[in-house]
Amino acid sequence: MNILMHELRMYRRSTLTWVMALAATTVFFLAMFPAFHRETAVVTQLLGAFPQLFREAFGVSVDMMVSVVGYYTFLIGYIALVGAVQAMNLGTSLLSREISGKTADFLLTKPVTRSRVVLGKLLAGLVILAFTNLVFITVSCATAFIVSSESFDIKLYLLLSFIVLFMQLIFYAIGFVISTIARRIKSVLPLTLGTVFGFYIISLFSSAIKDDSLRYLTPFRFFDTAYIVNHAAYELPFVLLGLGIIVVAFGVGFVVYRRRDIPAA
Amino acid sequence: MNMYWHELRANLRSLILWSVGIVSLIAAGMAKYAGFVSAGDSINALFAAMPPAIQAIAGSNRLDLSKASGFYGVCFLYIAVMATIHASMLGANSLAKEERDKTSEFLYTKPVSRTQVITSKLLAALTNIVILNLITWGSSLLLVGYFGQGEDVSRYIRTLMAGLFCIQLLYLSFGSVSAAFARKPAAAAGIATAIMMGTFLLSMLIDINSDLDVLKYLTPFKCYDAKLLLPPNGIEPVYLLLSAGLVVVSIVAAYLLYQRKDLAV
Repeated sequence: MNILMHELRMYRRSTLTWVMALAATTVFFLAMFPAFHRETAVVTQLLGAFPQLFREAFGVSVDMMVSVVGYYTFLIGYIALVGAVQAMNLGTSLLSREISGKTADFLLTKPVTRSRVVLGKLLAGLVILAFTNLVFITVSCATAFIVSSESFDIKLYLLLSFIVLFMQLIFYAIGFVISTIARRIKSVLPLTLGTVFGFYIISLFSSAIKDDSLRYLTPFRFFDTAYIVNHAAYELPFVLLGLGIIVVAFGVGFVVYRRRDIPAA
Repeated sequence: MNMYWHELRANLRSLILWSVGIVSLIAAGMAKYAGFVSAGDSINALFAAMPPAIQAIAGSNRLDLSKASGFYGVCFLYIAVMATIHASMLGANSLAKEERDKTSEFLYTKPVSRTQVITSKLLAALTNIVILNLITWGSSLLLVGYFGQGEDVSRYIRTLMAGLFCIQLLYLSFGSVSAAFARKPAAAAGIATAIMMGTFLLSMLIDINSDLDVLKYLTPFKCYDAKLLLPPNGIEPVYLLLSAGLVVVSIVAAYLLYQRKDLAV
């Protein structure tokens, strides 16, 4: 409990910064909706002329595309990108900062087992992510209500919003397991940015060329927004894959950290 | 000179990793092109018929994906993003890592002035980005030539690489000035990341909403956009002047701030 509270205190400022960044990204992008709506409304007619091809390319109906939910399907990728950087940064730094800050000996000579240390830190990270998403979803829904003149499907909107949480959990777990395996991580951000943007670029690339086999490779494409909009559900295989990654990463991280060598100061 | 070589050696591993990342990105991209071009015609016709806002979101406006140059142009955005992360992290960490690793007392008690330290570190960083640029250039020429089916793209690639170098220089100097500005060493990479993500997301916002076009001067991703650099166009002198000005101001600010910086020990 002490560890949990201490970590929450340590990350207070950085969490607030990230939450504000995430909320600002969401608000700025959603604020573009009226302009987007104007621009697309003119050509909706024209697009209706070949709905077949259109559906092949996007898998979404034209009506849906021009609603705020349709617009949101494009944004969620960018928001998830910001969220993923935050989560992986958090997951990687929780344990590794004790080593790079030379405070690991202090912490690990206290009368608590390593499992409890890891558990306390992991829980603190989860609390931070939960808080982040709570604020994000509130801000996002509120902004959507303001910018959209028509009513929209709130269930779909929430389903899309929860992609960010899922993505954050996956990258949180990846960061966590890397920090237990790597001997010493000097600086967390380059590692985080490299990994997250690496996966992001694979996803941009695979969707630009419509290659679906790459979907299993990058968490950014686990949640196909077109499928979600059409079926009002996530795709089960990818949800299971995501959960699998999270569980395995947490499990491996725990086992490794209990017996690993800690470079002392 | 000692410091220069020491820095180069210290950055060698990350340079190799980033080079491998970029080369494999180009290789994967152009290998996909070969398979894509046979099926590409209908997709291009479809893209061309869509409104700019939707094209922008799909990430492929005004670049002809059926041509090697157009396909490479799409890859260029991803290459630029990777080079940007490399350059900003390099700029921020070159100066900040001495404080972070608690080696600044060692370094700054040596009989060299701070100016000499900064100069050697910046020169080493400059060498790194030049090497990364040349590797990108060389591998692009080879791979686009190999997969490009005879289209002459060397001139286009040369323009793009010049643009890439401007982007790298910009973010390197942003990174350096944030390291000189940051009170805590860990904050340097954070500020650099904020600049990088902010400008990246801004360029996406501008794509979505053409009303924001005036803001393009604020983000290098728009100034050196692959579709603007298609022959016969070159880089616009305005952007070059603007970039040169920003680089000079940032570097001078980095020198001045770092001269009088209170080092965290």
